[in-house]
Amino acid sequence: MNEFSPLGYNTSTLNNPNTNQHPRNVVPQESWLRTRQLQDKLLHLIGSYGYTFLDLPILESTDLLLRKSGGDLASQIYSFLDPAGASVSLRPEFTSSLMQHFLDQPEPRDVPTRWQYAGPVFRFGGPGADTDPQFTQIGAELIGASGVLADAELVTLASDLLLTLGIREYVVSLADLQVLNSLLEVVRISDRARSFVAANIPAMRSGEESVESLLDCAMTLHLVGQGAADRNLAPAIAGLDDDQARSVLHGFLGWSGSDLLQLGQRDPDEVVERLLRKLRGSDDPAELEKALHLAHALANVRGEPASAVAQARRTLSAAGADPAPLDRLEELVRLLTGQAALRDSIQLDFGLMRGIAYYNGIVFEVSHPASPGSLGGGGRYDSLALAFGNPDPVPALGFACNLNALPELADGLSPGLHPSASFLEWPESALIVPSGPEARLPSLVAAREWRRKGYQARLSVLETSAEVGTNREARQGIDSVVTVDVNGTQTVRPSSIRD
Amino acid sequence: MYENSDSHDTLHLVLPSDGELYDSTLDFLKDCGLGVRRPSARRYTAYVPALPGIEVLFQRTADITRKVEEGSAEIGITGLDRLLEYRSDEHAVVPLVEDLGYGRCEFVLAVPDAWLDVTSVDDLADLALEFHEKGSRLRIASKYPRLLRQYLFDRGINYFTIVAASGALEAAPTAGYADLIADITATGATLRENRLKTLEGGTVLSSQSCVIGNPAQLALSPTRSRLARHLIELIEAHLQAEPFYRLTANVVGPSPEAVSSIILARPEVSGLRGPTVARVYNIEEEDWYSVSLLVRKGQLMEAVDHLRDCGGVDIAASPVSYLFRGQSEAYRNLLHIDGAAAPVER
Repeated sequence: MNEFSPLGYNTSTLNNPNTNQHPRNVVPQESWLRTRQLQDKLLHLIGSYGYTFLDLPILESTDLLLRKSGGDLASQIYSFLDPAGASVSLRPEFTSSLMQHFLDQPEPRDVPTRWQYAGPVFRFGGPGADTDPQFTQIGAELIGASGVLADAELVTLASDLLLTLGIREYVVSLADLQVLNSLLEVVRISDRARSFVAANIPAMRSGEESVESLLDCAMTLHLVGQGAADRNLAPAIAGLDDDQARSVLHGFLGWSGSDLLQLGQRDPDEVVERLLRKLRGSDDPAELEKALHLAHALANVRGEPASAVAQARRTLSAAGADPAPLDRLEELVRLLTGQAALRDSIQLDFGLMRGIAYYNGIVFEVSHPASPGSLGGGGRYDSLALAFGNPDPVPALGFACNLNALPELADGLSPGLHPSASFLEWPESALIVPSGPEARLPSLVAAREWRRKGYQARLSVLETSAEVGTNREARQGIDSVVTVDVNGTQTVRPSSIRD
Repeated sequence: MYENSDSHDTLHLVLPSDGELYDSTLDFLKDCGLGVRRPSARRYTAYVPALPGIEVLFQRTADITRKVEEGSAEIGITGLDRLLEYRSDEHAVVPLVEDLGYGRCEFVLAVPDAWLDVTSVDDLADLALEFHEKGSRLRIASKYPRLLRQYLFDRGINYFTIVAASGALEAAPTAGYADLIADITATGATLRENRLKTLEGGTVLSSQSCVIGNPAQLALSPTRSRLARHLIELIEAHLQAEPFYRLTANVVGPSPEAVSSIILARPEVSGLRGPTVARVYNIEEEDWYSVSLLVRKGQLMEAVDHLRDCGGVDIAASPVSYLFRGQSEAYRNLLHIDGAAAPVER
């Protein structure tokens, strides 16, 4: 036993100052080429759907990045002050930058806009996490189209990414948040309570939280009932109507502030309104409980599409809810499973609540039995533009996947091939136009055929009359316009505009 | 004494040069038998006569973590708050003795008194969302942005702006550059005078002084490692001894076993592992035994009465300077050894 180790402890750990650092992934040439080849192949595929590549900054304003995602990613963002004192961050994803770029375009903006991207993103996994904080994301965003055909295109594209790599046993889990919204319309609860219910769906599904424990939690958050600290004040406004109660609470506020009321950015009315809501408990506990039970029932509906739709329909019908969002989802399922290549990969999962704070339509996630966690996912986020200061929502949906998870699942990629620079060029391109809503599926199928023949095939996804009215659907660069009718019959004519 | 100041084997101990921690740290080290001798008040170096080979450096409290991290000192004493806020993610600096029993303070959130509707951190979470929905951001003034950010994230509060500030934070809401503050407080009096109130569940960190060290730096020199071990073990043993008195008494009885058994009738006042009983040889050749045991300070009179009940006389109580355990927790911390899995060889 040596002099400085009198208790016989092993001192070898002292000599490694890096034991607590993040793993450093250094990629040798062979793997790098393989990943590059894979990335190029995917960019080519996404490009063949008509998505143009956009290179976006790695360093972004922290404020811009935080506007998205309900702050979900906030704790994972690498932020720091630049030398001028502004807060900047390494991008944790692409969508925010992309949406900002779209909104920066002069009006009228081109819709639909199809963009694709690929590059490193950075997410802090927590102190001592063994996950790599840097990974490569590849994805696509379709902006300006609100119809179900746009949803179908994006989910088809997500599936195609895997199929083109020879990955077969993947699963696309799909839900539509509007179905939940429709269900919650039948109960009288506030928007806050509705957000609370939605945010807790994953916990209800996994059995982590019961309806009872969530009701307790709602009490703590003052969604229903009163906290201990307010119980003393509540009798002061008991029996008063809201206006009388406001007067009393304004009186209390005046006393507490005496000569100088210090409220920061808030004004006295805001304080009084919130206090009143707290003291009264804004939501009826019975209604909230009903909402939680309904959400619990829906969250546990998942599996093969036909039976899951039927089960969800029963839940909606029993509650007396509007079935329209479910009809739309059913149409989406029909468009997806109607394509032979996708038929066995589509599952419904109404407990899927990714990024609840900003998705407002379909959400989906792609997974593979051989890979832990999700390979990627996406959804519709029409309200994101509002968070960026746009006066109106902008229909938009996107998909992204983790490129680093794919190489080990992919077959048929030969190592040693060099990436080529021409993977984003097509000799010929076609715009595929459905003759009407009933021709959606034949159009999706036709577009696949044209791509297989080596064309870039863009689908005409603008469906609502408002969208078609402002149709600036880019025909630039299109060689042929292909109209597809309900029977799949194609009429091909040369485009009148070429660049 | 103090000859090795330039040697690679000198252990550098960095102590606070300012504020309340300066005097309390020097008093504490003196109590540990590690009095610091500073040749002149203007000099920023000093030495510890009881442990030759240690050079003391005085630095601003805010700089101590960085000094130990960058390796200009291997050991330091500072607040736990300063350690957790300023150390890098690599955790090159670790706490060796986490609670020295002084310098206590709390890092708390405080909101204007007039926010009648905000009484808990849950309210704050709710308010942050309301601000966000209106397109603004809750602004929190703090000098510890890192600790605060993590605390808020852990509670699902993701929309806020931390206004980095130092000095009189309590004025920030009145001055208008923040809505609320997160600050260090010992008694809460300054907060109250500035019409601020703390929140239920709003304590970010309870802090006190601690000994910190840089294990990788210490590993470079066996001599420094030995000095560091002596230093932290003496501090640890002093802290462990502080709650106890040593009691000795003379008890008459037929045999050592009989004396120990009447003392052990009340285990809570019969020493950490029972009494030590030794024969007292006296001229009268009576059967006297000397009983010695450690008791908690709060149980001193209870133990004295128990010894009297057992026939004890000449009962003496004295403070304990050091109490060494079978293993040193502080030294295990220095070696980065996890409590349960530590290999212990003998």
